[in-house]
Amino acid sequence: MCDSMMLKRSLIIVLVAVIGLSVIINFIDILGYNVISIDTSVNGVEVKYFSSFFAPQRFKIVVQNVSGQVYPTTLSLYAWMPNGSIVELGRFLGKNGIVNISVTKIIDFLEEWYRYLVDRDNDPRLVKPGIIVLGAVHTPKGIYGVVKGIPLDMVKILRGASVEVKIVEKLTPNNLWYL
Amino acid sequence: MSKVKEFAKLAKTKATKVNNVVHIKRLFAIDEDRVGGSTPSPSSWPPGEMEDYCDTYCDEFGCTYYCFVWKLDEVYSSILNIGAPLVVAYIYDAVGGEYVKRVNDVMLAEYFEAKESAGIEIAFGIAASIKKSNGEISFSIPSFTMKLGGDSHVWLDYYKTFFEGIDFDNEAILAIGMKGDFAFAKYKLQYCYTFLFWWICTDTGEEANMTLARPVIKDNKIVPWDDVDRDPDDGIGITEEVFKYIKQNWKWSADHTEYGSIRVTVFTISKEINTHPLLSTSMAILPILLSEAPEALPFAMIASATVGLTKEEQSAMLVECYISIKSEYASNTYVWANYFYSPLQFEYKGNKYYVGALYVDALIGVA
Repeated sequence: MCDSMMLKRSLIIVLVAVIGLSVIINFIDILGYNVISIDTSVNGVEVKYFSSFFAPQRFKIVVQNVSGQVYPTTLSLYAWMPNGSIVELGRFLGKNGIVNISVTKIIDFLEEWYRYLVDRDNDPRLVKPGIIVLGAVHTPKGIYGVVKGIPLDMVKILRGASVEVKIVEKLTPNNLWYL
Repeated sequence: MSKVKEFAKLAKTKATKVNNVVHIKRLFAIDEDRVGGSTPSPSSWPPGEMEDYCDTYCDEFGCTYYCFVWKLDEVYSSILNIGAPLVVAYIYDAVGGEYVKRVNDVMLAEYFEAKESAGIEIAFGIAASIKKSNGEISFSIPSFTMKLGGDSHVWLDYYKTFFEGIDFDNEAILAIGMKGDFAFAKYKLQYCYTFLFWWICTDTGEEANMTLARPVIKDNKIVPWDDVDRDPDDGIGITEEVFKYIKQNWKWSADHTEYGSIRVTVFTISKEINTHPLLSTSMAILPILLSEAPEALPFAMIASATVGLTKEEQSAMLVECYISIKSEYASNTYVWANYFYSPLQFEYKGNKYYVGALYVDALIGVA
């Protein structure tokens, strides 16, 4: 009986400690979160560059409709490399519209561009090569399409900035493919 | 029955007979950068454990787990470092070249400056056509292959004055533009479903064709380019091919007729066809693409590379054609000029716009 109470008490203490630690970590993460810049020049796309002192570098694409609803979304990412080839950076799935992209793939692509530009006496801070994003949004009403070219600030990303891309897509009959 | 149900039924009954079926074990890339959490994998069947699908379709025979996914089908053409015309003037008359000799000079100019802190960057558009399985085709500019920024950074400041008697002495096509890279690629939408330990994907009939364009840059400048075609009817030369294609297939602008001289700029186009500053001028590149990819011909509508500013600012961009007649003929010699714009409108930012081209058809006449 006594052992059982001790066990319960220990479990509660552990639980409280875990929750407390998690709150503290989140709080510290918020403190370390710093928005560097936001680019809204692309049609229906917001590209936010931010640093997060306590979290690893991330690259996330969120696809939502104009009223903020999200759906299972597949994104296929491509890059047009300096040598003219078009390479696949990966196909990704976000069950809730939030698609986590492999940041190493993005960095590999940008590093190649960086080297290419510097070799030709260019300042890579001035050039923003784009990724090509093709997506399918799975809604109860049907499958909607997303096609975007998203230029990226390579120097910010190569310096470690995380990226959150928000694509706001009007889900209209124009981009409805399958009912 | 909905298309999705049709696909699901087909998948169950005729999996091996579906056209263009590909079997892959893993449909989605592993997100190796994610910290913590397991990576879902399609091989983690049975479905109770499987997270990696978009939706399910269930009937009396069971459930099908599926996703629609885009896939690069073919890169028809990818051409590097080739000159493409941005401003063109075809100078001719109806009397065998006699009136062309009255032209003093033709000045073509191109200027692009970025003012990034004011939101003004130079953008190279992607032109896309999306063909649905029902055959319907939509055209759009779904944004950019590349942006060039910097503050008060002049990326291109190039003009060339072509003098009659020196650079040309009869009918001619004159052009300036830039060196660029161009590509044309096709993507297909696939219906992918799980079968035992595999994903099986089949084409849906939906496809997207894209023209990509970007400038060649060196020393933080776009590399300029120019050309004179002194024999506009011999069928040889990029400038002639490009101009003739546009003249035959794009819409003609309203007439612009002036005695002595005439000036047509990107702002003339922007105002007259009421288009977005990003779309008011473009480089026609169909002949460039066709040289490597005859398959591009049905998609001629998107074989155009738009170049413009992300925000309207007249002091940051100028694309201009100025034709002047020798002073002694100025009073009775006119220039009858037209430029061209796309036969169909492209969707951009939810609206539809024509794409312009400062390719000037200039007939020299005498009153």
